[in-house]
Amino acid sequence: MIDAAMNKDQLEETKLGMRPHRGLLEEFWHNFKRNKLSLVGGVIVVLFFILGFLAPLLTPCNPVKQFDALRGEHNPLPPLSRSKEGHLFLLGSDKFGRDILARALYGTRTLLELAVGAIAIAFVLGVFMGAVAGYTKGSWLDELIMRAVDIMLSFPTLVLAIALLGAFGIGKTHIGPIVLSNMVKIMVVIAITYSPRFARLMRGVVLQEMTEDYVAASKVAGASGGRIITREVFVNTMPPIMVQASLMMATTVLTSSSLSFLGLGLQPPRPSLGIMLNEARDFLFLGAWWYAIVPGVFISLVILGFNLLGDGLRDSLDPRQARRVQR
Amino acid sequence: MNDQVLLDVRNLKIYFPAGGDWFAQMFDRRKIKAVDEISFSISRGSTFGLVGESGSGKTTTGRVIARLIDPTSGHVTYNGKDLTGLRGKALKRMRRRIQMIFQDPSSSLNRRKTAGQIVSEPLRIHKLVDRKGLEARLIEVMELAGLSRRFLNRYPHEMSGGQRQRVGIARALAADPEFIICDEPVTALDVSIQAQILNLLMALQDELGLTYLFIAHDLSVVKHVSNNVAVMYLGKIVEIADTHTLFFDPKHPYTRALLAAVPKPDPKAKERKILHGEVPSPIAPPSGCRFHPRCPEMIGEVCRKKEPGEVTLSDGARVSCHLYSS
Amino acid sequence: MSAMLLQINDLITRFYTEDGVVNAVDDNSLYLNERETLGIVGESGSGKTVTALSVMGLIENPGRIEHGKILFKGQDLLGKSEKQMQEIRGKDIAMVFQDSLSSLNPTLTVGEQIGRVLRFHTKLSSKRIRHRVVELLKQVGIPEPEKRATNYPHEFSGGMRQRALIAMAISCNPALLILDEPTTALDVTIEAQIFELVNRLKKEFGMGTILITHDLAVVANSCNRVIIMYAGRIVEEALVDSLYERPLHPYTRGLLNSILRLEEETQGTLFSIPGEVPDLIDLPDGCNFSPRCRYANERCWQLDPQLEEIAPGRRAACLRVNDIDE
Repeated sequence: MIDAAMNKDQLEETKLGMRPHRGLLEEFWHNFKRNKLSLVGGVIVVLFFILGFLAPLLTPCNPVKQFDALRGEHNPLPPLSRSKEGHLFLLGSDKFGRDILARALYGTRTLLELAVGAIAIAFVLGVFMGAVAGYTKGSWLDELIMRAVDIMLSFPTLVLAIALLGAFGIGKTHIGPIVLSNMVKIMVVIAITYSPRFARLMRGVVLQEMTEDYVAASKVAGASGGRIITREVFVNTMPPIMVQASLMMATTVLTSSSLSFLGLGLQPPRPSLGIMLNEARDFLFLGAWWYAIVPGVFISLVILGFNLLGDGLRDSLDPRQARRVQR
Repeated sequence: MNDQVLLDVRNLKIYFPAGGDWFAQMFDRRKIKAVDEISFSISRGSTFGLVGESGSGKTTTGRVIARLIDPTSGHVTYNGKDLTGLRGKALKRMRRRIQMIFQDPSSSLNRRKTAGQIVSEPLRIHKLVDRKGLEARLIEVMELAGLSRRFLNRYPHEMSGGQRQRVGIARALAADPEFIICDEPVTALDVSIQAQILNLLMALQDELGLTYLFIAHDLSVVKHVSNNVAVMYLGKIVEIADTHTLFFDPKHPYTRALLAAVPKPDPKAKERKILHGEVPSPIAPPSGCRFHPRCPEMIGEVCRKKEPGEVTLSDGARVSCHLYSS
Repeated sequence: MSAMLLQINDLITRFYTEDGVVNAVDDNSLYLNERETLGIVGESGSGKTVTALSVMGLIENPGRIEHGKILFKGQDLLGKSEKQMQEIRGKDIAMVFQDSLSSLNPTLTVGEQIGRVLRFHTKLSSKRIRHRVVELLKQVGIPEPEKRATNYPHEFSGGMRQRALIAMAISCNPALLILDEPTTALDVTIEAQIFELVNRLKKEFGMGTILITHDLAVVANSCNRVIIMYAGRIVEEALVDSLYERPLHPYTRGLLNSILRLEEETQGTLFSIPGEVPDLIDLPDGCNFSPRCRYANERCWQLDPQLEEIAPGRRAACLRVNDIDE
């Protein structure tokens, strides 16, 4: 004596289960929130982006304005001291009497612009090359791309960037009718330096995904190669690529600061954290600690933030196997 | 089911280079002879079982027919037209007719797509329905596969193995195919679900007039669903016959050994006869008859030296074994 | 009357996942005598592997053994420290897992891996260990054992890897051997070989054996007693002969009916158990099997059946066990 209707309902329930149905984005966000370190990283990154974005609003004055320092020229003033005009240097002044805080904020802005631009270009270049190489695995195209990648990767990044910048020269470059500003040049140079890493990673992930049957199923359904890469494989390659992008932001920040430090980056009087560090060298043992500490801390925190974020992304984007226990 | 031949495979050879990349291949000319000249044909509306163990070449054969791999030589004809030479638009048109169901339901579904997105892909690729008709067709096809519409926005990890396989079946049915290659469709499923899926496949065949190439290593499954069966060993078909003949009067020693090895769910059954030895490597198959090192019924030197030709026996079975050649 | 080798009393193992609590092993008791082979049959989610892992003390976060006693030769394993368990694992109780490729360290040769087990548990010299490794490989039927001991796992075929794992398991002459789906990934002819090997070793060494599988056919030929598990609970227990002759629990009947049999003429639509294995986090009210059971009535949906002794050596967890006639 079976109540067919009740049995059927129960059957349906067993099929669907009572687990909350989450979309992929919700799932990601849910996992991301649980990872404490990545939250901290995310907060730091967002904070610095806000600082950089709102720099014009937040700065107490023009970063290139030279105030009249109290103690003779070329002597930086400590934090919370005032210039002859009465301007309060919240974080001190530099050797030209400029406000350190203002310069740091604008420096962050340009740094982040540079880093985001560079990584974006590197991403597009690298992911495209890597996808092509992966999809045409074994062909001459794959070999060509990968050997180029190998060659580029054999140089230490800084050396490569310096070499490329040296070739381009400092200041504006004219290629026919196109004028490349210094900033864009540096962006492009850094992008070229880092795109091989994206390419190699992308190729690896594409190769991995192509062994899965859903790619074969897509082919059998009639999808063209391009469609398979863009509509099926791409979305599955993004998690490790995103992690890489975040970690590379950290490295990019370091590289561009190093370039500025060496005088190869943005030119004065444009505010740059790297240049500030360079200038601060002369004053390290004269007691002007703020000159080096402020840009140093800014750079370090930005790098730390991106690193933590990258780690957190890696953890929260990984398929969470622990949730399913099927034994 | 009628006698009209839908798929014909003639002298199919699929060799892979043993070396890895083009560089290694310059030094290592050996070939992996995954499929070494097989021929069979499948009638419209029937199910053809292709049975073999690992290294037999059955999966590779299926992939060639699905045009995922190109053969080294030989012909595959579909409905009278050459299949392996198709390219571009003609190939894409053919893809509507020939579909495939895969073994691993976790791998054959894109884990970042919902069931609805997965099943609608073939419809989109071939532009078979417009936006309005899409949902209707999706629901229709899902229901054919035994899934309610509530599964449309589910992701693969939110479904059980059997449900995922049903999604794979729905996807294969979406473009209204004629011929489906079933590559071990129930191997990865729980026992109680296997029967469900097999029943589904059989019912769909009746309802939609489908023709199946059913690849499996499980003999009992193959026996249940097939009209005709071919047994493969190390790239060759050793025996091919209609189901009844093959299972009740197996001719080739390998077929007999396979059948004897299947465990019977009966405690009183006699102990299984063991076939000793491992499957040899397809790079260097044994000389003569490939099965001779493990064959319990080997006649003598002829098995070691000469490859047996195929002989057609009175009951219609085709065997490649010196026991039967003249 | 042989002594009791293993006795599990009221075992409860739970997994605390973020979606909820999974009752993987839900208050189960079972026993194994010396020299006896017990089959534990179940599909995914049944709890069979977790039971074995609980015995071995390999349950890790988020899993926890909440309750119960696991008596091995009279001693409660749950009261032992990790260090004490390490002494027991591999020496007194050995386990062979399903996936041979991932059970072996790809960076060590097979000989080295088996050697490590011996080095940990015995005081044999390196020379004697090398000797013993070759001896073990020979015992499990691996040809050219001296050469093979220096091979890496990827140079072994699936069947040989499984043999190597068995060699590792018997190396210290364990009293209890647990095999978890040892042949699921293997071809049927190789599977037959492996079972022949295991049966021979059982006779030779007199181990008590637990065979975990989903394959009712395999159990019929290798086990003395059988336990059927469903959704974390034992639903039936019997001697092998009795189980196949007269299955009591509807799930057991369903499983037996869904098995494809080679000897019979073609079966029409297969019997299949409708529905899916339930989600262990959200089990139905009443009997876990009731949504899929064709005999279920009102009582079944409300009351949880306990495992009761119907006859000596026969237990079943079904409220209607006496009402159902075939």
